[in-house]
Amino acid sequence: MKSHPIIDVGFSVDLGRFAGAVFLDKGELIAVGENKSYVVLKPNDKANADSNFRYFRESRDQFDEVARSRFGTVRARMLYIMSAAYDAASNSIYTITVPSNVVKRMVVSRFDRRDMVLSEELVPTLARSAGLTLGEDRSLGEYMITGAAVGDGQLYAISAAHSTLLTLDLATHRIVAAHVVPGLRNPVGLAARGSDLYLLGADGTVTVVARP
Amino acid sequence: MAMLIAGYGMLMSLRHVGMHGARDVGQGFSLEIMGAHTYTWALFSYWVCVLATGALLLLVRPAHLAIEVRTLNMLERVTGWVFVVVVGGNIVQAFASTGPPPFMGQSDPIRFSFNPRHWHWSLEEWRPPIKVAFRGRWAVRKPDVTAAIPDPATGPLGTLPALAVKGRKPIGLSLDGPPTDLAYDAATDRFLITIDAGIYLADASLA
Repeated sequence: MKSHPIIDVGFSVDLGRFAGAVFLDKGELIAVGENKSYVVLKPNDKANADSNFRYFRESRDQFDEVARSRFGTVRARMLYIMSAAYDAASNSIYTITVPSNVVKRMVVSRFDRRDMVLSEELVPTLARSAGLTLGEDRSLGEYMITGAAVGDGQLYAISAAHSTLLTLDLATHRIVAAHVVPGLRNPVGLAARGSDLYLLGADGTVTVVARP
Repeated sequence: MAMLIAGYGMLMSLRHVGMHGARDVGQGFSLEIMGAHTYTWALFSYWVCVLATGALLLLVRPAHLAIEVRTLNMLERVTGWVFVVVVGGNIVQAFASTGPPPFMGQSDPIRFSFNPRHWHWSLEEWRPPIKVAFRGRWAVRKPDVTAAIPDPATGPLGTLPALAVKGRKPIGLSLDGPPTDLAYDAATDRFLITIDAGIYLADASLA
């Protein structure tokens, strides 16, 4: 382990529970809470521990807080998220909603990294060429996306519900592939490394699969 | 009594301001008066009532508490009757637009008419499913990954092809809580793992 900042999530903007985190440009990283509040951090070996006391409970001398605010959404409003992804090509951050006790709706929100403002919201549909069919009275909103990553114009999203990996084409907004991952239980995170996807389970187990 | 009424008025006007106050510029509900919508003026008016009542109470002296019947002057009588007429008008309008129970007021108030043919008494709010919740209809519970049904066969897309698992191993970090996400940075060849309020940076071996 290289470093380990613990954030005071109750200070200022309530960050809730971290649901997604990604590396950004400029050597920065972002952690997004379930409530779409976020904090942007930058590793700094010369950080002023005294000055950072107000932000961090641990590792005050290794990180600086760059920003702390909230993502605003429209279609995704009143829905929690459990994942975040960063697309370097469009310099955008993505979040995906999870179903709730009130409504089951999958909304993918894109925020421009430059001003962190909502720039696009889409409700994915199935690509005709994918050969996928929804069951009667079933919905993509039933999937509970808990991890996401972007690579080569595709958004890979792992669902804790039904242990399914969805591949969303960001250009067409359509699901182009869906696969199950054998033996995967309670996935909470997904990372793309080269041609592989790393799936992190709630028990701390990492499962590696090739990108579909 | 004035404080109680003003407190209730602030609650109801704040309820409307809460619903519409964060909308875009110029957007709002019902009429705009001097750049502010009516519910905003209601909140302001009741707030002024609370402040004025508090200030008047500070000016009360023992001599003022002596029991003495005071005769209202003409201005006070006119004010009182105007108040009664305004309240009466509100009662008539509320009855005409809502009706007696079990009819319920519409969420969006409708045009008022003295002609009963144009009255529209609604039972829409009683249509099932009737959602009653202490925190309101949109009380969204926090998501819980452990409550998800993992079985792929029961998913909305039915039977799907399986990906071949290339490897599976536990991460080499000791975390202060259950992990909540994973990310990778190709530029620095390192991973990032989050827990509830913490972030772990790990090398390529996830250690």
